[in-house]
Order: sequence, then C-alpha cells, then structure tokens
Amino acid sequence: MKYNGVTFVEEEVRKMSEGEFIESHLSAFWLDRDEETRRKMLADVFRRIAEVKKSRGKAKKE
Amino acid sequence: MRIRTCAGNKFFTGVSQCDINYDKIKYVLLTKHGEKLEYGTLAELRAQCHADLPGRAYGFPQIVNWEPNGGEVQTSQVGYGPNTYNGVSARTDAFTLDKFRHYLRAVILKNVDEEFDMYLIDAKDNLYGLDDGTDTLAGIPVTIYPSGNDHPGASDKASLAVNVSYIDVEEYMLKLDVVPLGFSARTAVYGLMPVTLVKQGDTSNYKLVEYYGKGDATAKFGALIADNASNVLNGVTAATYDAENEVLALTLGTGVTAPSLKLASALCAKGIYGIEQYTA
Repeated sequence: MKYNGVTFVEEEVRKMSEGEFIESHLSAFWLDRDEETRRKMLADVFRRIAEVKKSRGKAKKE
Repeated sequence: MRIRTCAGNKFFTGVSQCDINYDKIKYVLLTKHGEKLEYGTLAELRAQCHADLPGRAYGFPQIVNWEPNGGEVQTSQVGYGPNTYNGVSARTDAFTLDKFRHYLRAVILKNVDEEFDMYLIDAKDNLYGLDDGTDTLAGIPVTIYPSGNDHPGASDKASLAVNVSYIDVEEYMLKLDVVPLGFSARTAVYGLMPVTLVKQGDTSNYKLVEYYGKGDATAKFGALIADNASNVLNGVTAATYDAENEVLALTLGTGVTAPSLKLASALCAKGIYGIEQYTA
C-alpha cells in the first residue's frame, strides 16, 4: 500500500502490533512533519492495512 | 543390412536468394552447458539474463573486437600421396570488451574450469549458435579465460578480452547456424552486477552499492525499488526513495537485521535490470 509517498509491505506490517508499528516507523518517514502528525498518519496506515485483513477474513467466512 | 551412404550424395553448393548479411559481433552470451537460450522475444531473452540458476544466460558488456586464433584446417600426406584433410587446429576467439574492468576479469578467471554454451549476436541482430536438429539453436560448447592490459600504456588503452576456447571446433564448423532475432538485442542482453544495501550511519537510510568497485547505484534504481518494495525487497515493512539525498529510507521487520533484494528474476519482473543481491 502506498501512503504519502511511502510504500508499505502489508504482509510484514500485519505481523506487528499497532504500537510496535508506530514506534518502528516514527523516525523514518515524513520527518518534515511534527511527531504528533506522524503518529496520526502511521495509525491511519495501520488501521487501513488491518481493515483489509478483517474484510478479507469476513469474505472467507461468507 | 546396413548400407553406407556417401556424404557427397548431399553436396549442396547453391546459395540463398536472400544472403545472410554477417556483421561484426556485438554481444556474447553464455549459458551453463546444456541450457538453451530463449530468444523468441526481447522479453524472453531479457528474462533469461535475469533467470534463477542454473537457467540463466550471462550477457557480456558490448564487444568491440573479435580476433580468432587457430581453427585452421590441417592437411597431411602419406608417403608421396596428395595432401588430404587431417582435422582442424584448436581455436580460441578473443572478444575484446568495451572497457577494462578488474572485477569482470576476476569473475572470468574464477570460471575457467566451467564448460559453457556460447551464443553470439552481431550488429544486425543475427544470432549464431549450433543447429542441433530442433527448432531453436543450441550453444557452442566453450571454456573461457581472460586476457588484456590492466593500465593504459604509451600507445594502448587498458583492455579486457574474454577468450573462448572451442571444445570441438570441427562440430562448430559443421553445425553453425544463424537466425534473425527480430528485435534489438541492445535492451535484452544483460550481465548482472551484485549489489548490497548499505546502512547510512544511525538512520533508516540505505544506499544501493555495487559490490565490485563500490559504485553508488541508488539514484538509478532507488525509486523503482521503493515503489515495488513488496515485490523486490526482503525483510522490509516500508520503503521510500528520497531523490534529493539519493537514499532509500527502509524500515525493517521484527527480528530482521539487514534488508536484501529478492531474486534477480523478481527484480526483472518489475523493470529493475542488471543487478542482483550479493551473496558471499
């Protein structure tokens, strides 16, 4: 998934918890923005990737 | 009863209605002995230059000179009888590459005991190989060794030649065949340069560095690698390319200590040509 110029490897991201994901990416991307904004962006990325996983799981059950 | 047939019964001396226009050799391709070249389309040939082992074709940088040595018909006479054919002398062709490269010489030297099958492509995109009775050409069995000059002298530039010794030059002369590729080989023939991702200090930034000579290849491939991170990188959770500083910003998965590139075939599928991950 591409988000604001950064390509996220969804399969790898899904192996992490949200907190772990945010902390490990916080000082790597969008460094021209303040930390609070970066946290919000990373949380949004994580939710989008996690939602795809959930919706795929539902589709399988159906 | 087995009846012998004289070879002379099939002595065809006619010429083609559209003669082959043989031209100067531009590319040498080697495959492991027994592996055939796939040259149906440009994409097929390019893919084989990036294929997983052992099916890979090894393309050499552009050839600027070809010089055959030996390969001459030998004759001898018995008593006061006439001279008659008595075989062909051993032949070695020297293919001079466009530039001297010390690492390429080392790689050639490491493979002197390996038997390869050789294909040649000329400036008119004719492909040369052996007719093995199938629809596609077989390679010419050869071994290789390097030669040339390390440094420029008063009159000569530094140079590197890959020398190919024909395993059976007589078979080569009997079975040599030529087919038109039908596409330009220039964008299809590749040799691969091993590269590594090198961490820049205590940051998430990496440079893509050529293993031999330590050339920086980040600017050329960085954007493509970042855009296709899922398909071309191992151990990475996210990637972006910083064009201003010419670095790749990479974050690693849990427990991963160093990122790496996937196989050359995976890179090729995403338009990343001519490199592969260095492995010791």
